[in-house]
Amino acid sequence: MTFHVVKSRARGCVPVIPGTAHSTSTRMSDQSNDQPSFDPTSWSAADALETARHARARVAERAATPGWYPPVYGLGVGGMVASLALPGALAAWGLLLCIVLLLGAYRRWQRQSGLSVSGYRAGETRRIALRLAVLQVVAFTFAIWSRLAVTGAWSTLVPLVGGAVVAILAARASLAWDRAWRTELLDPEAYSQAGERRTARHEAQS
Amino acid sequence: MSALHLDPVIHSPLRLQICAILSAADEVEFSLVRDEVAVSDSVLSKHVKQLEDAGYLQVRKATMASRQRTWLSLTKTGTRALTTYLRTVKRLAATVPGVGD
Repeated sequence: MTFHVVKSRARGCVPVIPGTAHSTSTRMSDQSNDQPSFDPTSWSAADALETARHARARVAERAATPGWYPPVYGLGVGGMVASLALPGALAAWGLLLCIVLLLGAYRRWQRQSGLSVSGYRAGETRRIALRLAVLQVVAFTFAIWSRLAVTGAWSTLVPLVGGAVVAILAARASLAWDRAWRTELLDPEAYSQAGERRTARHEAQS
Repeated sequence: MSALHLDPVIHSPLRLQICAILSAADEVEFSLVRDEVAVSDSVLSKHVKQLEDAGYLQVRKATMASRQRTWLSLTKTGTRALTTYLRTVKRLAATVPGVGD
């Protein structure tokens, strides 16, 4: 099947009408393009797809999470739970310190990479972030319970052990999140599915 | 006769690249986009303005580490337009054997 692509400003779009054979390929003309090196005759549907794929792949390459990030993230998240082992007001200070550490680590990565990404972005990344959030809430609740209901060394040990476990799992979750994000950036199918989900959600909202 | 429509705002290699880069994250810094698409600040600003006028892109200026930084992000309309554009192009490419696989 052949296509003829005609620029139509009046309709605000470029109709691609199957069956009106003026070309033997999927070449698309775009006379409005003003990129200096652009050759309208070489811009095909395949080129457009490749352009989008490459652009996202380049971001994936550039956005490599530095090696220090997962351990620092684990330390921050696990430290929030472990800080409950501290006596009195020190627990609140410990908690605050961990939040500052997490925010600082994220800001530093943001400055280095030039990107800003929500941990709860749609797709596999959201599932990983939600699982970690649930784990943290459970560990936090358990640690508070141990401080209030348990006496002796256990009331300190439970938040410490819980914090250590959460720290390891959070660091691993950070690595898994990064992997899932990259996979999505490099895999056009994964992106396409995420895009379709977003579009469907937007349409449902409006 | 059915017709496929390609959005003329996105249907430009440079703007398509900008949209694809922005779709990778919630916000992307202006300088990163400029480096990735390898154009000057003024050329990028011009295309950013076109996307902004179409309601596809949002610009936010913020001070970070005592430096003014410009952050770009795709709006919901922009995300929808890009998805529709890629879907259309994919359908178009799929009609030619060996293309768009």
